[in-house]
Amino acid sequence: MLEDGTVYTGISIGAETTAVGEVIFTTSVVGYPQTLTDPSYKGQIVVFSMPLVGNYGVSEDQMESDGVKAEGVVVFEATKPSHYKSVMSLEEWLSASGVPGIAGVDTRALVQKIREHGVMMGAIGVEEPQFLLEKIRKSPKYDEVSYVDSVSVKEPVELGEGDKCVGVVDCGVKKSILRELLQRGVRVRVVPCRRPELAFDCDGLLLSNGPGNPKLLDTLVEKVRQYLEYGKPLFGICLGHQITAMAFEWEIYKMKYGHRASNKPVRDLAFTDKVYITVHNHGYAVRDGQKLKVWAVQPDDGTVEGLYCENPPVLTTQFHPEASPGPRDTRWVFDKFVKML
Amino acid sequence: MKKVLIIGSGAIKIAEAAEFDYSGSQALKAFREEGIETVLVNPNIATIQTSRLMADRVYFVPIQFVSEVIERERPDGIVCGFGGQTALSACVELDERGVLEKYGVRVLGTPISGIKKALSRDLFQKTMRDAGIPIPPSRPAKSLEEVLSIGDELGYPVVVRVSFNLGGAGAFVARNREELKTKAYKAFAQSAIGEVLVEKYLEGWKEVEFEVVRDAYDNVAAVVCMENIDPMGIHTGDSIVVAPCLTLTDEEYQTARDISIGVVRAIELVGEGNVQVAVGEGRQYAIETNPRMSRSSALASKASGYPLAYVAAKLALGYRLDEVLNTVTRRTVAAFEPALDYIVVKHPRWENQRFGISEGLGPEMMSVGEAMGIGRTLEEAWQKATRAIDIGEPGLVGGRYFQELDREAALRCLEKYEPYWPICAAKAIYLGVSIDEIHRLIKVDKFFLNAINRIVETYKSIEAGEVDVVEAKRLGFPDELLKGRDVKPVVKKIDTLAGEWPADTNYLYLTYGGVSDDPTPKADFLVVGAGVFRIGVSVEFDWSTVNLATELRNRGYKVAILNYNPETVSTDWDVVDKLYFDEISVERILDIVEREKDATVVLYAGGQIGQRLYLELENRGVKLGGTRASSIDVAEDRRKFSKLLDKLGIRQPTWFTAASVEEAIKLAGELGYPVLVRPSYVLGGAYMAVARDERELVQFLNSAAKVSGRYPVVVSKFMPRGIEAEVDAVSDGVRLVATPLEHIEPPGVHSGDSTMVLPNRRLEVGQVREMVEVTHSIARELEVRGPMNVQFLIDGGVYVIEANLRVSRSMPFVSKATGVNYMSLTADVLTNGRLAVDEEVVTLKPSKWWVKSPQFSWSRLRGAYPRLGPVMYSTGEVAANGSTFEEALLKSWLSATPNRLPKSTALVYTYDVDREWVQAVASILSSKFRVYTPEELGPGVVDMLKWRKIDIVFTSGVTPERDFHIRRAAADTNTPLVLEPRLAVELAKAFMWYSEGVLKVEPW
Repeated sequence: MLEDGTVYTGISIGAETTAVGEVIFTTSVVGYPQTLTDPSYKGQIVVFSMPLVGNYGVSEDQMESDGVKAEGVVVFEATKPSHYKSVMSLEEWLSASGVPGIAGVDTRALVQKIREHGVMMGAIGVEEPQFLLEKIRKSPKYDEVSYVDSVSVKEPVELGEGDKCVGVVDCGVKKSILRELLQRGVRVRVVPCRRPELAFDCDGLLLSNGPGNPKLLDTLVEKVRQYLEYGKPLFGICLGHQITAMAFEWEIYKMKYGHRASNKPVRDLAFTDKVYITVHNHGYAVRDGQKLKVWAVQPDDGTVEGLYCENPPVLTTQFHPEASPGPRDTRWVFDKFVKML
Repeated sequence: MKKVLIIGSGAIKIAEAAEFDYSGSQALKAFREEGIETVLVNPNIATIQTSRLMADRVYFVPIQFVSEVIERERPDGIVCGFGGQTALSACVELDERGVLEKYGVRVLGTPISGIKKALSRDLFQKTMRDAGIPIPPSRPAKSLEEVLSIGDELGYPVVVRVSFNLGGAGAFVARNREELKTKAYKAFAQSAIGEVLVEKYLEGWKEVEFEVVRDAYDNVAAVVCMENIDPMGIHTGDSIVVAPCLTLTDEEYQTARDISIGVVRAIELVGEGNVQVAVGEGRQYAIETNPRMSRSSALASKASGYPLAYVAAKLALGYRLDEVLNTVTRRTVAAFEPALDYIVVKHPRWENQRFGISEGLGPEMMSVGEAMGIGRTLEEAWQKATRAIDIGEPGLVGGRYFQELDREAALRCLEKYEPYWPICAAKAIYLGVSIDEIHRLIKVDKFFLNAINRIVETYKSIEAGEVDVVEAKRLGFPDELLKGRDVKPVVKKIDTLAGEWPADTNYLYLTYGGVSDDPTPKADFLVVGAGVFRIGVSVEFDWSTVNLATELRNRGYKVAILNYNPETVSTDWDVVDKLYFDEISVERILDIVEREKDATVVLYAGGQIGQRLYLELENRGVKLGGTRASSIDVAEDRRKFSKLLDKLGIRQPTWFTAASVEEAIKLAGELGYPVLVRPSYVLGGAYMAVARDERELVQFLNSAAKVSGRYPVVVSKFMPRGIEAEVDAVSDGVRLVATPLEHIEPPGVHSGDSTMVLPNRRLEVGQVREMVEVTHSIARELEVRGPMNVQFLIDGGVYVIEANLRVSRSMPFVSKATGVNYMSLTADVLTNGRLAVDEEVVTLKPSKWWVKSPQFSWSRLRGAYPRLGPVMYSTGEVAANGSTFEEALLKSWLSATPNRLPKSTALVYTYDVDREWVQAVASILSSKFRVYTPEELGPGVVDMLKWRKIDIVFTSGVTPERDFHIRRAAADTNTPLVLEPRLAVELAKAFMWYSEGVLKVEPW
């Protein structure tokens, strides 16, 4: 059920509960375990354009957080898995996670609807349409809810060993971002999203990805401005990129239906002069600000995909250099950040 | 860059088919957009690329003559990546001979050094090791001893591959030392550089392929991931392939992608290439790469909508990947990786029974064609593809083959890994065999076996009368099995971006996995294509489909094509207003016509496949273009046609039908031998035979056919001394434009395997005139409105063998030789109702000699006995012209592989009854050649062939018990084989003529 009253019927999969969220779509063909556990999907109902989801089941090593973060799942077909690593099927996993899903939906028609009308609130449930519509109307809009607290660590966590220390401001950080840092031999201190100052003594700060409207995080923006005064390196990914941009007075706008895919080109205008296939998951974007220079753009619609500055040392990506799921072609951005430390 | 030379792939052969017509055509289009003059070398006259609309200049000459073309044309650049392995090898040779340097020709795209790294196995391995890319444990070998010692070292089973080959020719799996020893020589024979690679056999591993594009600035995109349903060890060309990759986790997918990109970087690819990766549990290896457009890249283009060849051509010119537009959306750039929101399944089509091959599938490709099914479930796509290969099965279940298999036969089929194993697996599951057991036998991932299981379960519910029809439709069951048309499909677009951006183009499929249509504009005509390629149906019918569509568009109409063959130009969404990539069936055409209400459906352009749809579609009120269904029926029905000929006073060879072997013997005795026998129910691919006496008749009927009242046998008078000829024509019911053609080979050799000559050479003027008159009277009587072909036998009088009221195999040849496009004539009749000629009969005749020769693929058909007969065996054709008949014949014959001019030796013999020709050929050749007979050489004959001491073999008849080893050795060593006396004599004369003559290299 969408907020405009459009009803899609199908078969209930997963938990038989009711979910309300912003209905968005992803065109990634692989990586549903990573997608559904990515904290950035908090508050959202994920529509997969790939018709078969669940082919290789789920396993622990594919988790981007401690569990399913998306509110609900819409697929054309939830398949019976076959993979040596699989411990359970998508359906079993959703049930065990208490997350509802629906299968048998003409997901292509739904994707086209969202493309034409923009993202909308929606609900999945076994109840009557009228009940679901009421429920959507009574629920707060995605843009008005701050989700980061529910996906952030509550207290600082220290990970790894190394001479240099990177503070990760956890607004819903993906495990793979931490993994990329740790692989490069740095110490990581993960701190709660609202308390970045707990990591201001580190050699560098990473503002993580995360769910929701960046405009609701103005206190974090203010603290980032304070951090920048130390002149130490700052790295922002996705939501972190938007927060960084806000710290430099860039404008935030909501996109019609966002970028959520693992196949999008990004042109590097500053560092390598190349074009990369990158992973995207963002419904907001930035434009027209100060000081920072644009280093990455999406050539199809011109969206700003990365910013940088030499002094203070700032580097951001709207896309996901950690991939997971998706192509790993831009992992070098982490190298670049680590070198800045 | 002002002028570019493109090398085509030559004749269609196993492993090199119409996909290169498609990729070459796209490249020509991309160059033309840039204002670059194009020169194309390709003797495959049936292709679409060899047209004046595509290339500025076309050379119908053997690929080996390309250096003469360079000398004459002086191009600035050459592109090697659009004509398959043939073009790649030709480029390497041009480079090594210094031709490119001498004439200052720049190689566009991947440099020669990169091509070599990809082609030579040990260079490839070294390159991969240097780049840190994992490859399976293996070592190259140059001798038998080396092969054996490496085999011992790696441990069996091992797979042996050949350096510099195509489609895996010569490759095999050896499970022990003995097997390795006996098979190794063949692998050496297939290698141009006498080198093979012995590799650890990764049994049961998954095999995936990535199509990768890379520009000269090192920007890359791994465009499509395709997964072989068949495990490692089955050649990709013989594998059932699914896209996108379905069973890989993101970690596995990205690792395979990284390996693929690493490989193309290491070989300095510029343009497009594919990489095969073996995926094991927790480990992956790069297997091989093709630094060029390939069958897989054609498939990937169709599977994803991404125009790989077009993009590759632009990249070869120096464009950046993000400067080229995605031509589907026309608003996003080509630097992306398509997202699929549907599933495609590619299914090969084999003809192993026809060739008498009983071996199962393996590392050598044997399939002759392929079909692609698109659906929103795996099962829907798979069942569509299974129907599309046109073996008469309605899907994985419920057909004749499925019904006839018992448990034992089904398991044997799986154990041997026979073609069409999924039907065997379905039957085994149906009979209670477990998925685990099937997995143990064939190593196919259970994800795919589960899909078969689901199909079988649904089939059981159909049998039990309790099927959920909506569910069954989503799983790809046809109306035929569900007995009704209650559930209707929807039309969806393939847009490369899973709906994320609106698409400008109309690349469509139908599916039951949805509730709403993507909106599309209406079409005026629906041209039905040729479907899957098989022996007898190939690129020539794609030529007519595309040319007719183009001619109609030129006249201002909106045209849609229906076809499902991923290799073809007709399934390029860029050549029409709308492309329905779907099944060719009554059911599907009705679904389409329900949407395209006023569209005229054209069934005759794709050849035979449309002929069987006429009656039912006409009965259902579908508007059909051209000849009436009742006339088609007369031409297709032997009795009705025979009656018509009698009525018109036209001669035909006497014939009868018999409902039992006894009756056949009795009537054949009265008719007189030899006779031509055509059973309606064949066993093992013996579709037709000539019987010279009663013994042969009985033997054939008992061994190869089932004869009964239900399955009668047709026996006709056979006239071996006659001349076979044809008339290709277009009629409007009153007027006729016709071109007569003459065969070199006598009756008894299938017309598709015959060498054709234009204009007539041995026939008298009166006979030719009579042929045209007969064609005209048939056209008037049946009110033919469109293309037609009549086959004749001239033996004193003019006899009609058959008439086909559709396009024929030779129409591209005739159109190009005479300069009159038959599809343009056909479009006139379709749109104006008449031919634009004043006379009632126009007979066309070219101004030069033209010869069309068949291309055989014997070297690829492991264990087949090379032969000719009433059954067609060739896989393709080539043609050339000349100012004398000898020149045209030689150029044409040389254009087919492995034909080459003999230097000094020939083996001439026969074990057939008819043997005078041996002496004739020997005496023609004797002054220039050493002519051997097998008796002279004794058992050493095979060694002589292996050592390439014999330049050509002339033989005839079908005597496998005596000379299987000779013909097989000739095929395995790529020695030219001439299998028919009349052609042998003509060629022998032409070889002698050549010692004084010149083969001119001139553009068409």
